Amino acid sequence: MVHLVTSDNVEFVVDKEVVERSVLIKNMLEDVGETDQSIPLANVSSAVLRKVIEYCEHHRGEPLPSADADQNQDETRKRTTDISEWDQKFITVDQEMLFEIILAANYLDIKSLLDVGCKTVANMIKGKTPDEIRRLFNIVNDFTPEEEAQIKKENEWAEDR
Amino acid sequence: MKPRTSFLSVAEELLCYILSFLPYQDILRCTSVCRTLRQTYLSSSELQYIVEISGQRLLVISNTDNSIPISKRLQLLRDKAHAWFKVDIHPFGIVPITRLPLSRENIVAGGHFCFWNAPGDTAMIFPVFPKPSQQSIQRNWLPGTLCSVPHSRNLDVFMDPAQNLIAVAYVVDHKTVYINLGTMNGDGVHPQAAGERLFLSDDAENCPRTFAKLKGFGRHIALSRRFSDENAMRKAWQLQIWDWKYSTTSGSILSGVVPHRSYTPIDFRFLGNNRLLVTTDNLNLYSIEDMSQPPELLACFLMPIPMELQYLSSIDDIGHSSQSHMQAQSTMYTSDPTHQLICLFEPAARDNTQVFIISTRIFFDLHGMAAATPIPWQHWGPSNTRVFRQHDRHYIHINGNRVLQALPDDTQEGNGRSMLHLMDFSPLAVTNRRGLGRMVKKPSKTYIGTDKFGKSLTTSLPYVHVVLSDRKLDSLDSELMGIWMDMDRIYMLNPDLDRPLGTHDFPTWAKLEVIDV
Repeated sequence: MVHLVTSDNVEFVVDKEVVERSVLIKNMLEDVGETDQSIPLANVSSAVLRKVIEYCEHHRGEPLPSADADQNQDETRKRTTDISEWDQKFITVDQEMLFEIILAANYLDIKSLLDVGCKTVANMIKGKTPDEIRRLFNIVNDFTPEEEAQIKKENEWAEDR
Repeated sequence: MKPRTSFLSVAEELLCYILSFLPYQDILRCTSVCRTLRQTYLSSSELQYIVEISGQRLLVISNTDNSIPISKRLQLLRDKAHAWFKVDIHPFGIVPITRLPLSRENIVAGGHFCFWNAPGDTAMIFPVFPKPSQQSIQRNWLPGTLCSVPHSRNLDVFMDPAQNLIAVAYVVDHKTVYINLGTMNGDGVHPQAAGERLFLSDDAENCPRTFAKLKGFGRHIALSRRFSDENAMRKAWQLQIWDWKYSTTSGSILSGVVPHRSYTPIDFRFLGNNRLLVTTDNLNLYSIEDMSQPPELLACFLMPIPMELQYLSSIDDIGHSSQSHMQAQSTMYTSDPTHQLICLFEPAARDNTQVFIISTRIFFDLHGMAAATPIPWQHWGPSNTRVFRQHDRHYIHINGNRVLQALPDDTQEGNGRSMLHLMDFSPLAVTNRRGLGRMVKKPSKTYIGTDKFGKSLTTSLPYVHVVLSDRKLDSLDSELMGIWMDMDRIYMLNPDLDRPLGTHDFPTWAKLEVIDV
């Protein structure tokens, strides 16, 4: 069992097999060896870590993507945004939690969870107009009208068909 | 209290990663949302690479060497696109060709020049200035060596240098038709073939007088035949498709009656790995997913008037059809079958034929179209097509989204010379290559057909037009026998005027002029 302590000072005790889906923690444990000492995760809150552990529990035992496959995958990824049913349900959270999970997955180095998060955001953006995207993420349009017209003209070709 | 985590609060690297899952249109839309996202795009080679590839309508070949950094690949891709518009092209070299039959049915594919000479029953393949990393094939087939089965006559030969495949369709004892699958560089059966030969289905009609056409793409091979009975009263065609890597038999068969005016077989071509276009009087689009079933009709596109049409073969058909052993190192991209051009011409009109340049996107954007209802020309044609007049079909070639034509120089100094014209139909070229070439968005009017049955057509598929050079190219002064292009080069074939001209039995001498782009 591994002890993890979150930024809001909550301790989690997790199976080694589960927590090792995080490449960061896996490497740490390999460096330190067997230890009862808890690992501090200063960037992750308890609410987020609970979700991350839920994800790792569900996917325990699945093979981790190797660095090699990773490179290849990047080319052939074909920008697919398919997400499995369980993952979709899991990631149905409010926007703040969604981005917190993405940040945590990035920090803890859990590639598959990072992809689920990023694909979910990509799916939210897909097919929307710039204005709809601004409303979706509460973004202020900080272009001058001239700049906006210029960019629109540059991108015209992609909207043609 | 810590600020709420939001989309824009994540690191640029993560923003970029999120956007990289999006299609290029959505990536571009994000760039007009706000400065942060625009900056993310402008500082990411990867995002710009996705947009550039899609804009040029290319697909990455999946086993591409990943060791070249993405920023470098982006630069190469942009430079290559620009190079096609440059006016100062330079001749790269000339290959002398002996023993060239006058049939003119030659092809350039996968960096090779190859042809089959039906009357002489010979074939030849050789590499054209191979790149150092490229494997090449060089071979001559003497009469009788393409197929050594006794009492057989060869009907057609299909060569795919990229897959090292030579397929020979032949008829034995004027009765049974087979297709042999061999390698181009050796004598054995092709290692990936399901067997030594492909068999026609039992209910295939066998007829003494048969015209046949053999074509392939990737794992598919198809043979079309036209036969007529003794009195030539009844003419029928049949087309069978095989997955030659999987099985030597198939149930994928189409047949029909030949339109009465027609003297050639029906024509067909593959569109990517699971679609097939068949021209009868019109364009029929089929799905060929299941080789045990007849192809499923997806849609029928009506031509403006009944026409007898053939496809101009393009290098996309074969040269880049698969992830072959040969091209892996030399090519990183292939053109996207859903956004290519096809070129149709009327073989009957010997001089001054109309060529139809059609965007293949219409064959993939089918939602809401019922297969049973033919689509009238007015609904699909004008905005997806450009019709050109070309006095010789050997003077036009297509590759990906580009069309190359040799047209007479009609200026005063022209003096019967030809000039090379390049037309680029890719969306990036049309709207974003400012200052290079002349943009043609205006609809053009062409009169097609004969006076009696003709019709005036308006077509408007936009393109960028570049006259490639007013500099002297040897081939353009001579009598051109054919032109081709691939992603890197232009090839021009013309007779070697210092040598005597040949005949069918006595091959001619020719020169293949190569221009690097």
